[in-house]
Amino acid sequence: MAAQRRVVILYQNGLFGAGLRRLLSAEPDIQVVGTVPIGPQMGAVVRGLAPDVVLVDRAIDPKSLRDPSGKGHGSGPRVICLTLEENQMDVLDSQYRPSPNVDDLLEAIRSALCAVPSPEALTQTHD
Amino acid sequence: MWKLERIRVLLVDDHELFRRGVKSLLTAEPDIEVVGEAHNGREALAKAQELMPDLVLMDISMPEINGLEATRRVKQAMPYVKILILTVSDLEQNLFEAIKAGAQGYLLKNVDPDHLLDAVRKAYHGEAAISGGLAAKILTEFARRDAQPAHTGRESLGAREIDVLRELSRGASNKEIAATLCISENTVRNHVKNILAKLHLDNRVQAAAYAIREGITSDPTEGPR
Repeated sequence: MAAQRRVVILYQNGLFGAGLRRLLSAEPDIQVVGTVPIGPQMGAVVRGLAPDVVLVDRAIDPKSLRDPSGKGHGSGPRVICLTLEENQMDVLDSQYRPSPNVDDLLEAIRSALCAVPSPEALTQTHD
Repeated sequence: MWKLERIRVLLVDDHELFRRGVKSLLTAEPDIEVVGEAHNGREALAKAQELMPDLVLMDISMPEINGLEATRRVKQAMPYVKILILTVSDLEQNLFEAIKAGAQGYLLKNVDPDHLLDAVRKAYHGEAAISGGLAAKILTEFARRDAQPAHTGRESLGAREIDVLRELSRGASNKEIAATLCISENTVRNHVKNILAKLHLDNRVQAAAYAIREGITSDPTEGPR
C-alpha cells in the first residue's frame, strides 16, 4: 500500500482552506492532519503535526515554519503556495506553475516524499 | 411525494482549485446543486443561458470578460438569476460596480464556509448577502452622496411600501419586517418586489441605499445629506 502523505493546510481564506480539505479528503493516499489559520502560532502547530506537505494559500517564507531554536528534523515539509490572487502554484523546493489544476496539486503532494530526503532519511538508508 | 427544492448554482472562477473546493463544499449540502462551472465571463454567459441556474457565484478577476461585465450581461439576458460575487477584492469601486450591475450580494473569499452557504440561501430567497464591513461601506457611500432628485418616483410608493422600505433601510429580513408590520412574509416579499419595480432598482441593497438617500429611515438623524 502506498505511503500516506500527511498534509497541513495553512489558510488566510477560510473558504479556500475548507474547500481544499474536502477535495483532498477524497484521496485515499492523502491525509489532511490539520487546517490552521495563518498567524504567529502556525510554525509551532505545523512542527507539532510533522506533515510531509504544507499547503498555504498565499506566499510565505518557509523559514517561518522552522523551529527558531534551530532544532528540528531534516529539511522540513514541502511547502506548496497556492495564491488566490495570482492563481498560481509555487512548490518551494522545485517548480512554479501558473493556473494549476487538481492533478497538478496532487502530483506535487505525491512527489513530496521523494523530493528532498532529509539527512536523517539518508542516514537510515545507509544503515 | 415531498421533494426538496434545490438551489441550482453555476460556479464561475478561473482558479480551478478554488472553484473545485467550493464545489465540493456546496455539493455536500442537500438543498444545493452545482449544475455547471465556467472559468471566464464569456463562458459564464453561455452556461447561464444553457443551464438556467437559480444563482451564479461569480469571481471578478477573470480572463476574456471579467465578472462585473459578465454580471451585467447575465442580468440583462436573464433578470431572474441571482448573482453573488465571490472575490478577493474589497475595492469599493468593484463593490459598487457589482451592485450597479445587478449583483444580489458581494462576498470576500475569506468568508467561512457556513457564511457562504448562508449567503447562497439568502440570495436565492431574494435577500442581500454582503460580507461583514462591506455593507457599511455601501450605506455610508450612498448616504454621503449629495441629495439628488430621485430618478424614479418615490411618490409612486404606497404607505405600506414606505413602511417596508424603512425597514429595509435598517437591513431587516423579510421575516423581521413581517413581524414588525404584523403582515405575512409573502406580503412583505410582494411589497419588496413592487418597491424594486417602481423604483427601477435591482435588489434590496439598492433599495436600502435609496431609502437612506431619500431620508426614509427609522432613525431621525439619518437622511439626505
